[in-house]
This record gives sequence, C-alpha cells and structure tokens, in this order.
Amino acid sequence: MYAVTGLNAQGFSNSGIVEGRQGGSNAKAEDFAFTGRVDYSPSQIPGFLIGAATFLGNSGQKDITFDNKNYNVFTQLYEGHIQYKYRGLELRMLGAWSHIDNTAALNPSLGSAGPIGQDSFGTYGEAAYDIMPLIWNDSSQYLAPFFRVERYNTLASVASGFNNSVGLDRWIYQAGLSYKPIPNIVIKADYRNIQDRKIVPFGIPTGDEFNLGFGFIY
Amino acid sequence: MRRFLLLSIFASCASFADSVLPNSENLSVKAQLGQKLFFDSNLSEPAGQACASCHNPDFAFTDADKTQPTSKGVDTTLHGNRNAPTAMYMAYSPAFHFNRTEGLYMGGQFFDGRAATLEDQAKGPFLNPVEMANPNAEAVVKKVKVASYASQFDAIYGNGALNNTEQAYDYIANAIAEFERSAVFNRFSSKYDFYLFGKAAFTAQERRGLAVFEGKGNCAACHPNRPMVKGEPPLFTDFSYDNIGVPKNPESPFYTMSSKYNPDGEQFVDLGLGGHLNISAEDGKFKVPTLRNIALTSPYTHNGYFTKLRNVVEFYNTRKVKRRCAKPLTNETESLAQKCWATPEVSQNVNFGELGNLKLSQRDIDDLVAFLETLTDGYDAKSPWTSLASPEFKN
Repeated sequence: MYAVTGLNAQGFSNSGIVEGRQGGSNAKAEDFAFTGRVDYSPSQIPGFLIGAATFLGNSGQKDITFDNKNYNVFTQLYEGHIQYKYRGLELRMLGAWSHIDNTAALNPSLGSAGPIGQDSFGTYGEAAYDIMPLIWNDSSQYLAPFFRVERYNTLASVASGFNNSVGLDRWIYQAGLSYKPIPNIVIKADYRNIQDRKIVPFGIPTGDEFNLGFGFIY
Repeated sequence: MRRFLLLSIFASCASFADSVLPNSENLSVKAQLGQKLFFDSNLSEPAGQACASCHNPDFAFTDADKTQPTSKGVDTTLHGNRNAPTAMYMAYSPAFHFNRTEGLYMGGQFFDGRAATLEDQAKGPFLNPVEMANPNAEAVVKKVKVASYASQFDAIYGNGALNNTEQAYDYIANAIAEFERSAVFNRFSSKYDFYLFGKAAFTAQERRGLAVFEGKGNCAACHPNRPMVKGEPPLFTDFSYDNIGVPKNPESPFYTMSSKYNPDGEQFVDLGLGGHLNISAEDGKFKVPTLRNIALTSPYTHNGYFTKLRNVVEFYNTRKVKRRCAKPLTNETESLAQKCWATPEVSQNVNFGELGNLKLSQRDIDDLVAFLETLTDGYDAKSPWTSLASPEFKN
C-alpha cells in the first residue's frame, strides 16, 4: 500500500484518464490517493499468478469548481490479472474498471475533451508461445508469436444528460512476434486490427496499425 | 418619410418599455427605473431616440437595422464611426486597467475602453452629437424631470434627487447601469449553457465546431468558453484589446459626413485603444467582444465591415494567406469575390501570431459557425446556472 499524489482531473478526457497522471515537478498535491497491489502464486500450481490492484483518491486537486461549488472528483480504479506459464506457453488476462464521481461538474471544464466516462473498463487476453526451442533446441533466445484480444471503453457510462458518442470504445485484435536475443532485450512486431464503436476523439489515430518496437529491460 | 421613421422608433421603444422582457420579472426598483430610461425616446434632442434604438433587445441589444454598418443618430442623416456593440454581458467587464501580468490593457466600456464603468458609458450617448445629441447633461436632466417616472428618483435616491444637475446625471447613469447589470442583459440561457449542464444535446456538427473553437481555430485564446476559476459561466471574452487587421469599411456613411463631424473625411482612421490612450503601440486595437449571442449581433467588428458571421471566420482563417486587394477601400462583397483582403485600417500592431492562417477547411468553418449559433440566449427561458457571479461593479 502506498500513499501517492492524486491524479489531476483537468487532464482527463473522453479518450481516458492517462493524462491525469502528474509529473514529479509542479505536481498538484491538494489531494492524495492510496494505491495497493497484491499478487499470489500458489506453490501447488507452478507458473500461475493471480493478483489485483487498486487506486483510490480524489482527483479534483481543489481546482474543479462548477456553478460555484467545488468537487472532489473521487476516482476509483480496480484491476485484476491472471498469468500462467507452462513450458513455452504463456497465458495472460487482465481486466480493469474505473469509476469517477462528479463527472457532470467536471465535464464543462474539459471543453471539447469531454464529456468523460463516469465508468470505464478495459480487458485483454493474450496467448504466446516460445517457438525457439522448436527451431533451435539449445538456444537461450526467445521467439514467441502472440495473439491478443483487447476490449476497452472509456465511456462505458456518462453522467446523465451528457453525450457518449465521442470516445474510445474499441475491440482490438492483435497478432505479433516477440524476439529476445538476450533476456533483457526485446524486439517486437505486431499488427493491430482496431474496430471502433464510437466517434474517435480528435487527435487520436484511427485505422489498423503496424507496430515495430525495441525494448531494453534493466 | 422622416416623420414616419421617427414615429416608428417611438412606437418600437414604447412597446419594449411596456412589454415584459425575458428575465425582467425580478428587477430591482432601481433597475426598473433604468429600464424606463433605457427605452425613453424623449431623452434625445430632438425626441426620437432612446438607448434601445441602437440596442434592441430582439437583437441581443444591438441595432435592429442590419443594413447599415453603423447606427443612425436621432438626426437620421448622421452616423457614428463605430458599429453599436451588444450591451449584453458588459456588466462583467472589469474597470479599464493595465494588467501587468499579461502586459495588456483590459476592461472598460466602448470599443476603445474610454469609459471605465457602465455608469461612465451610460453618460456618453446622451451627449454624442451623432447619437442622442443633447447639448449637455442639463438638457438630459430637464427631460427626465418631466418624464412620467421622474418621481421614482426621489423614492430611490432621496428627495430632490434631480435638483442638482451633476448629481442627477450620475443617478440617471446609475439607474441605467443597474438595469444593464440585471438578468435582462445577463441571461446565460444559450444552448451552450444547457449543454454544459448536460441539459441539451449538441449535434455532431456543433460538437465538431466546439473542437475547432478550442483547437485549430484558436478562438478560445481570447474568447474563453470554459467555466471561469470559481466555476462561473464563461463570458466568451477576456476583455483584452486586439488589432485583428480589419480593413476600412467603404460602406461606412461616416466617411461622407460633414467636416463638423468628421474633419478627416475619407482619410479618417479609427485608432481605437491607441486613440483613447494616445499610445501608438495600442493603435488599431479594439476590445474583444463577447461571442454570446453573436449570431444576432451583425454587423461585425468595430466598423461593421462584415455582415455575415461566416465571413468573419473566413477573414480570421485567411487574412495572412490571401493576397492584398488592389484597392485599400474594398468592401466585404468585393473582397470575397476577388479572393483578397484589403489593407488593415491600422497596419501597426496587427495580431499575426494568433490568427490569419488557421488552416480551417470549409467544413471546419461551417462547424465553427454552427457552434457559435449555440451561444444565442433563450434556448430555454430560465438559465441553468444557479449561482451567477455578480457583475464586477454592482453598487
């Protein structure tokens, strides 16, 4: 469990709350939040992990005032995850849900970036299999095709009377390949088929994507 | 013909004075007196023009005659050099001052801020020779003394309120200002207001227009559209001054007026804030108007150069991009036909940073205009705002 600086609701938008995260410097600290995580790996099932995390706190930072009333914008985030590894097979599932209070009062101060979701959710399931042992038995390298199905909706519900047609309500089907020449370097290529069910907010790319990435774990 | 026109103005003002204006049901006694003064067309010289003649409530308190860029005076052959601005929401303009943080002049009344407060502003048109044309304050007070409502001054301001001319003139201005500070002028009842409360749904076009307003259009930089710091309704102006590069308006009758009223004739240049302050660095700057009710308040800009809202947006969009017109005196219609913009009336201090090349598509412009049309009051009779901020200078 940790106590941390709360989010800043002025960064929330119809595409999510990620911009509500604050940097280390000039962060507003009028509101604090609490976060905690628990993971459990039963010894009876090697490679299995189940866990959950939460974030609870006000995000108003004393700055959300509408019609001469100040609002706390209490924000709740909950997440649960399951992971299972068996030989070269990796299975992973994650689900998250959030609820934000006072969105009716917050929406006006967000302008065209609102209205935001009162409830939002996201989930994905992923399967990967390391095929390197099938190609090169003695290798310590890793080569895994993977497939992921992702579903999220930043506007699962909105405050009464507000329009919910502009936001990210997506199904994403993703297939790709991860390659680790050494354990702490990953090269990843994937193709994402994105299916939108709402009008995508201005500035968010639309259409299918091909991604190529390089990662270094240290 | 002239008699007919005067009679028409009389009839029009009298009907508004007696009719129930939106939001007038809870007017204070002082504001009610201000309403009578505002609509009294006997207070000009000769009788025939009231404040309401150029500030008609049916057009968001601007001139109902949209065929002229500037308003006619009580002598209908005379015209002022500036377009009559809306009197709505002006009660929220702070007193004229220099904002050291912003490095800008702000607030005040009139296009050039020459009146610090609503009271100061209210005194101006009575004595303006091309408006109500009274020779002095004494002439105005004399007319008020014989009005049917004269006795109310004693009731509100004390016995003998109209005896001292200077004080009486202050009371007249104060009553008018009180009326302008009332909910009649500050309705906050547009579709946009209801939209902010989730009580009105925007069309897809209006939503896109809002995004253009805040984004590519950069309109919100001077016309803030989000609730203010304490959550008060947005006023769609920051009360600053700017030179947006509007050309001289060849359609303005002011250029052809006699030298008594316009000594410079066709050479007249309106310096705006710079003329008021006698500071050349402020030449050509005019007060940023509220965009509330903008769909009703044509013509637009200080000299009424633009007759249509869409054309103003087009000007903001392409002022830096289109070529200069061959003739400095090119009107709106000719400019659009020739795909050019005429030279700014004052070429110094033109805002090049925030407008002139907004890269808006024709659809963006249509969307933006659709959004601006949501700012017209009266979407519903009662404002959704429960706690309206008091105008700055409520007495």
